[in-house]
Amino acid sequence: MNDTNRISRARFSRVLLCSLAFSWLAACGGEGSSASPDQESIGLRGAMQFKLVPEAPLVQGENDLRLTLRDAETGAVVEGALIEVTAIMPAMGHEATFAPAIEEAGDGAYAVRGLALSMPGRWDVHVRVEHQGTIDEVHFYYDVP
Amino acid sequence: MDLCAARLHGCTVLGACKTFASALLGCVLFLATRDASASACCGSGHGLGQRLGPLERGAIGLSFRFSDRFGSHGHAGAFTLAPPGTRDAEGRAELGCLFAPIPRLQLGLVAPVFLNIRGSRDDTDVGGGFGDLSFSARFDIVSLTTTSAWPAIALTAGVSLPTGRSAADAKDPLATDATGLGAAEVRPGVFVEKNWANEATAVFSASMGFRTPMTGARGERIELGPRLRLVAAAGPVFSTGWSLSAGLVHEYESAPAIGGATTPDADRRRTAALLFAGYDISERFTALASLEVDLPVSSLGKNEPSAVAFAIGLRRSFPRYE
Repeated sequence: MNDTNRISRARFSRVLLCSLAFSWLAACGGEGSSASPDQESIGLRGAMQFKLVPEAPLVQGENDLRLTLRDAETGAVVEGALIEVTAIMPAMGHEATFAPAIEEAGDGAYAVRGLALSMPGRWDVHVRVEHQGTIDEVHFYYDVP
Repeated sequence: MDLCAARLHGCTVLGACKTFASALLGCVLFLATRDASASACCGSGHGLGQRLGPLERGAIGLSFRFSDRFGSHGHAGAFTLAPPGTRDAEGRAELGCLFAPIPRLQLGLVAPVFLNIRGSRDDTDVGGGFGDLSFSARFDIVSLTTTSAWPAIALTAGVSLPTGRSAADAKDPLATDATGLGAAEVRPGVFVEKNWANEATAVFSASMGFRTPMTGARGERIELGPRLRLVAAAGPVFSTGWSLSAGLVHEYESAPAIGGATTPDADRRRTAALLFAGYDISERFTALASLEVDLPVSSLGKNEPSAVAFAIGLRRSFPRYE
């Protein structure tokens, strides 16, 4: 092997090591605009106030959340509603593996059990509510680390 | 195919979505050792290189790849470490074969099998199965020689079939039984390779994967965006039979259209560092190893899991002339 090749290989190795070191040093944690775990919003049709709170920090896999519904105009709790919760990963183009179980907990609260967020990333959780002929829906965004 | 996709849907099957994976799935690199040797590589776990050597008629290879997710890039690109207690590992075995019916044309087939282990909090699930079957073709426009000033140039094409289970069809909350993208993929590309007097090599490849539409659980049409893959690597070749190479892979996928709508910030990208080693055990057998690490740099990833993967493989070649 000639000197030129030796020099080139040594330089190549230095560049590679420096690049890797820079990569690790530049790593930083935290999503700049990460979605808050507790989310509250008026529905897309303006009929209801939705509040969706994870019962524990969201993780890859099954998660339990607490949904609270109120009338957007009067603030009265919404009880006996028919609720559908689905989740989709907008970047991956797939949905949660199966629908969660939903149980009424009283005073306008509903337990959402086993929402399966199968992988890390941003999930679009869609809540659709039907109550006494009124339909409303909302999208909440959650980041699973 | 997109490994991420294959892994997570396989989406990357840690990759899903890992690539997803992507895909998912097959950037294969090269580490030529001698003129008679074929590519040695393993960009995404293949134990079989993407090409045959000039004097080879065919080759078969078996590889094993182990990966572990240590974090992910979010929708804004920021890198976040996986929470303590998270388990997200994948094992993959691949059987591949290459055949050259005529000197300039090579045809290949790769059959993968996955084993996924995922867990969080108190739950750990294990699943897996057969993945997406992929076919490849390569046509040499400029053949590889060590004396020419020109690099070898080849047109490549890959087709993967959705023979694995997609993340959307998974039965497990952690999608450990997801082993495929859920869509067929056609991936045309170009491969450029330069060999300097059998002392050093450099390769560059570019390809774009186009996927067929899928149907969601509620009947909505899901169209995954095209996925661009760029791979560059270079390294020395030693007369002892060893060859080493280091490089980078970068992938970009535009946001999918779900029911005709595209969500902002739903495009994906990943950048990984690659290290390869190959050793000619004998004239016919080559041992391969590779290490691939997704770079935890905020500007280099988006909507992708980050993992470290190690692969080993063995390749047996068949000469054109005995």
